[in-house]
Amino acid sequence: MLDMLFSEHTITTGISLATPILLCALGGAVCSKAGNFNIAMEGFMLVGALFGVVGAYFMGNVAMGVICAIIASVIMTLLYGLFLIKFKGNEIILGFGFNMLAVALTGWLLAPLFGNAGSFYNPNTPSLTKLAIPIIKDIPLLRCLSGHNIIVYLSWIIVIVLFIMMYKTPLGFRLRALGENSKTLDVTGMNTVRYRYLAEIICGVLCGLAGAFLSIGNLSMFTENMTSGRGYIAVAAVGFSNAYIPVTAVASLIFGFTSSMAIQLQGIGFPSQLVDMTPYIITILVIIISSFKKNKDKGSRQ
Amino acid sequence: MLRRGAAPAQFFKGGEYTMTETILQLRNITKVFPHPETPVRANDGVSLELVKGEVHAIVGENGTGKSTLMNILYGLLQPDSGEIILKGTKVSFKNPRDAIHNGIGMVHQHFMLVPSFTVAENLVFGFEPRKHNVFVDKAEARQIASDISAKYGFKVDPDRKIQDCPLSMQQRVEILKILFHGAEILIFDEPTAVLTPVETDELFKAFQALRDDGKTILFITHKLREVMSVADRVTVMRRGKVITTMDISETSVEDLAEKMVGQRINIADRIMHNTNEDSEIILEFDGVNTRPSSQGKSLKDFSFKVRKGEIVGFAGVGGNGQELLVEEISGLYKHVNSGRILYKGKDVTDADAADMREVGIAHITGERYIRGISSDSTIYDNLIMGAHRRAPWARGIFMKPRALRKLAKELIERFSIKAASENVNIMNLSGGNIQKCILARELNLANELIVAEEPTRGVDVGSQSFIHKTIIEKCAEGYGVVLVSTDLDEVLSLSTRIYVMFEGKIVGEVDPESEDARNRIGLLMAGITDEKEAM
Repeated sequence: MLDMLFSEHTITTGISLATPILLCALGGAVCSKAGNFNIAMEGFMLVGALFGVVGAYFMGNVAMGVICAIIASVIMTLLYGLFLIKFKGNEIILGFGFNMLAVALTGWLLAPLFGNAGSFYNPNTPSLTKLAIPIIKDIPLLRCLSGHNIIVYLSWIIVIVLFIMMYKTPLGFRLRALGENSKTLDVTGMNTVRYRYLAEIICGVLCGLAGAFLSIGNLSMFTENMTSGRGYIAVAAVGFSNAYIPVTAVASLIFGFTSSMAIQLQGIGFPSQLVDMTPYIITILVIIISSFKKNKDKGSRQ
Repeated sequence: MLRRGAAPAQFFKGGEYTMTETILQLRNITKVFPHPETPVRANDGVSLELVKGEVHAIVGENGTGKSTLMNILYGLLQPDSGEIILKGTKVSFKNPRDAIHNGIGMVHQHFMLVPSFTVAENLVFGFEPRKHNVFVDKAEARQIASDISAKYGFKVDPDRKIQDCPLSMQQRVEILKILFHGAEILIFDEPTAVLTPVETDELFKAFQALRDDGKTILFITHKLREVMSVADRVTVMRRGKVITTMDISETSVEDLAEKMVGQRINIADRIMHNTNEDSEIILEFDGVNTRPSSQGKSLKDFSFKVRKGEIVGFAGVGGNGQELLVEEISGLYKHVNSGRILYKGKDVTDADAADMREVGIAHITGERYIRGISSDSTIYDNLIMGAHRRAPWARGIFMKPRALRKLAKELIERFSIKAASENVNIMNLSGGNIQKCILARELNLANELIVAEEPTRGVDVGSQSFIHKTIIEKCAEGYGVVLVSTDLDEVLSLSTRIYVMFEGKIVGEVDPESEDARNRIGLLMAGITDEKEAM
């Protein structure tokens, strides 16, 4: 059984399940560092997913699908930013609002766009091709890293790029300062509003990519509420890692792999409902552990 | 230690400035904050002149528009009318960056630093040196930090994170930051509020160094002795207006106090009480040792008694176990290893905060915003806390809203809290009035024991004297008072007995009436118990 749990297949599936979580979590991490604990990634991703299919179907071009997904998601984050920054809304309530709005909006748009309710699938719609990495594709075990679509590879590059941006460039310094003590920006005459919107836009781009990965990454299809809680797991990854990007990435991968193992377990007859619970149980455990740790830190700072 | 009445000349030997070189003029600055009922005229035709190379103090009670004026000068606020003339040319600052480019820097009361960044990163924040035009050059930032710290003799550790630095070092970082920005005029908003006396002393030496370097310093304070010992000139503000600007040689602490509040206040009025050795003991520490706190501090072999009608003062440099002492009494931190704490003979060593409230202690804290109040709540809510679950303001699990409402109104009246209504958020009040709210609530709950911890930290002279007077009254009524304060003047003028704390121990007892009390406390505060050692 262990063989099966840790097989190459599990790893390959794990990577593919981790990717949308990873991308959303990175977006959430940037927002979190910039002072907005964003829980609306689920909604942004869902809108991205729908518009990924829309772009790919109507323009017959998968690249346009990805671009549409990003644009749609960014529009959502800008709207979210408007309510948050301009109208000073509560970020948690806004987050729930946007998540629910996204479910309703995408479900409703399905009919006018494609003429059928619930889901959309058309075999002629292009989807992203899987790319093999030369050399690596022939090495046992490592070959799991090969044979994914472009968004997977892109997500790995984004981890590095975001890390460098947040911790090595003036922009990153400002974003992080914004989250910790936004007045430091005011007193050096910098425009905090601009930086806050920027964080939302970065989150929008990443959630758009995540959505595109879901809808046009494999098959080209969209079903109602197809994100099914991945955005919430991303929130857990952000919380767990304290929005420190390398840890966020690792946490997202762990969540992806547990989901993958859960699928394997299902194959050998574990109750599927129990198995479906695994990532959420791990999420809860992780949050409990990290909150204990945080409380302890708080105690020692006193 | 800063001594009372130390002549400015001692601080600035040979320091002389010429009246001709005016570096900055504020002319008729007016700023009105809109409000639907009563717009606040924070600055009302304020004019001020700064001479190059002077240390200029601005004094005034809380809420007189000092900070508003400084924020206007720093570009954080725009005046409704009036003009700023810098080195002969009229300027207007749209934002702080404009002010920074014109050589004006400001050290805010609440430091503008990022806790997780290192000292060097904070120092260059907003003006980061770059590597390959894209990355922050951390090596260069570190270099800048050590260079500038060496130049001005401010010790900082460039690689330490701000969250691990003591407040005094954070302040040095703030000063270095504005020097790095190239500031010629340095504004300080209540710089000594967070400092211990020794650190205050160091800051004033730094003022001297900066002044010798040709910088002009403008600082806000309401500690008048500081003004007398460090400033060259002083401007007094009251209710948004400038009352006067004087040379320091023309004035005195009493004179300044009078001009600030518009009436004569006797700062060091002490009422001697008849303390009787036979009075009932209210609080007793009997050889108390505590487990070290997370910062490694502990109380060691702590023994003292507080009798009825006594004010027992605890002096000492901040961070020598004062917080622990207060927390042990109030039940907030109970980690007694050995020894006993007795309240009227009853063992309360392990009593928690709720128990101690039950027996009836008042805890007046100087940590206003952290412990003293709920800053999200109204004045009413803050005033009735505690009373809301006690007779006669409550019966069983039900509160009596009408009785509580009456209580709040009474307290506001009796403690002359300046509030438009008890239903507004407490943060609308000035620091002094918030402190009076705490005083009102706590004294209302007190049975016999009052713990006053920095009761007047950072409040204006008017409120300070009100709080002092109230504490003395309560003492005369027979309450036992524990006064923990780093303000030596406060301890000296209120206490009937003084203990000096050093590294968690009581290192000596001083009679405040004795001639050399101040000097002896000064030595004890530094941990010097053997008088000869000091010679």
